[in-house]
Amino acid sequence: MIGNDIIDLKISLGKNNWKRKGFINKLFSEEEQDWILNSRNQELTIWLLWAMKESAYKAHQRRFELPRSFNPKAYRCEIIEDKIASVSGKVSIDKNSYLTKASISKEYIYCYATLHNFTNFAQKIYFQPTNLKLELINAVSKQQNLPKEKISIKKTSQFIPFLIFENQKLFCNFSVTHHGDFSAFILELRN
Amino acid sequence: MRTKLKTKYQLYKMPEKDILDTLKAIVTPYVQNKEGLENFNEKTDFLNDLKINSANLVDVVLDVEDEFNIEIDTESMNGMLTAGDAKNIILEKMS
Repeated sequence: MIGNDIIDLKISLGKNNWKRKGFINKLFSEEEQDWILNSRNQELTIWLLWAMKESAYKAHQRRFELPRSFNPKAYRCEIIEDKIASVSGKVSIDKNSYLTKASISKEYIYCYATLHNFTNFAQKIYFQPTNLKLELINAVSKQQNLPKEKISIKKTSQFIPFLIFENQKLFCNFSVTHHGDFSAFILELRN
Repeated sequence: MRTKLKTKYQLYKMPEKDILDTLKAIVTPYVQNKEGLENFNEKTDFLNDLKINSANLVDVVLDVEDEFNIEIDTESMNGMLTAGDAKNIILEKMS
């Protein structure tokens, strides 16, 4: 199972909404709040932790086909390795945990979450407005050797997207994300 | 312009339609799909109809708290996905 999230930093940084009373407390545990306060760039740390939570939420919701919920605080982040431009972490929810990997640049934060560290996947990030659905369908078409004209994307009643080939659901895990002009998909590959 | 409400007393007498109108004014700055506002009703979904970024949902929650002078706990926040959800939470917290 897989999830991803992209943040366009020119949209998110400098908004000051994170300084509002209650903002941090509604999203982050005490431990996470400590990291934020002690980090060199508090605002960037907030959005890094947010991207970790969001990508883990997507993987978790898809895995159990859960109804949607806005419960970011229930997703607890741990940083495993921080190499500044690349941060590995773990996000736990109830008794489940997901591994996350985030890339950070001046322009964006991109994070993906997988259930296992051996999960195979293909992903692509776009930095210009793109028809992401079409790009995803092209990738699935190539990977599964199916004609792309017959592949489409629908959403479940819980708004989880899924792929359809000739009226049949394709059992193929993926996640899409967009923010501002940026977008990305991640597609799980079968071994 | 939205009217700033000061006391719980005023809110208590607030008709449900006014709550929805106030909610509409609160969410408007965060809406990325302005067409979704045209037929704003209880079923209006913050994420899917209005395309509010999930990171802005917390701003909506904080604005609702300020505007209605209530506190939205974690559990209530979890289920605040439509205008109707928000309206019910507001009514519940004010009662």
